[in-house]
Amino acid sequence: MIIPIAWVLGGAALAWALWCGVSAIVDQAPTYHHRLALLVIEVVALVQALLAVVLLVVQGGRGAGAVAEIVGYLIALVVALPIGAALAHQERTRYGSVVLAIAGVTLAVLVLRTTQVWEATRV
Amino acid sequence: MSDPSTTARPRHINSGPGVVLLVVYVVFAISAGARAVFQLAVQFHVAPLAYLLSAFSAAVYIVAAVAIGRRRRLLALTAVWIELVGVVAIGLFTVLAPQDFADATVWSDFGSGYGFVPLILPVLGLIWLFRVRESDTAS
Repeated sequence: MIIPIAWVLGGAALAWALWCGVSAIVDQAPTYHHRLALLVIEVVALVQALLAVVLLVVQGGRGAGAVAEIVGYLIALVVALPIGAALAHQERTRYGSVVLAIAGVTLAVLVLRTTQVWEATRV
Repeated sequence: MSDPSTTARPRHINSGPGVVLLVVYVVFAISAGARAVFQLAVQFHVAPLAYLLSAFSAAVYIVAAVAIGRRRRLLALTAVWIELVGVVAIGLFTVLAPQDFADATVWSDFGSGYGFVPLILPVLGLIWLFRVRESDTAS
């Protein structure tokens, strides 16, 4: 993990989740702008995951179990927002915004957990 | 998209509040499933009972998620009831006899490791599945 990117990614995911949550409270369905922000955050998540995989390969040293766990988390990190977007796609009500907010919070938690495992297994 | 009205729509168990329920079940299906696979594959010998229970709870979440997503109300009800019984039983067991569990499962201590969502989720699930009974008979 590139720690500064992890901070940006986690912070952006939380801020976006908050925005989606507020939209849900004021009875607003996800808009084009919600989706645009999702796309930007997803790009950051992809960059983070890609760099983390490169680091795993270059650095080496971690056990197979640790690598498997980290790669599992990285996959989850990359699919969290697309799954949320897919589920919210047909739901053009406030509940679509709730779904996106949950996806954002889930991504933030995943970033935190991935970073924890990354640091704990650092060699 | 321009009309975010939330009323007077046909209600299915996987629309409206149901889609929120669905996304939470998907999150738990994936996280519990991944956790179970990892535990069983890497460290099964450490705590076989806890890890088999992890696998069981993962299976319950997966069935619930698929059932809600495919509007199988009866199957969803069955899975959510099993989930509620499971989290209460394992919760009680881990509180009363913690020495019997060498490692935590999703349902240990009533799901405290997951913000008690595992305890709240089946209750909300049952409320929702009972509320949509009239408007959705697809199974």
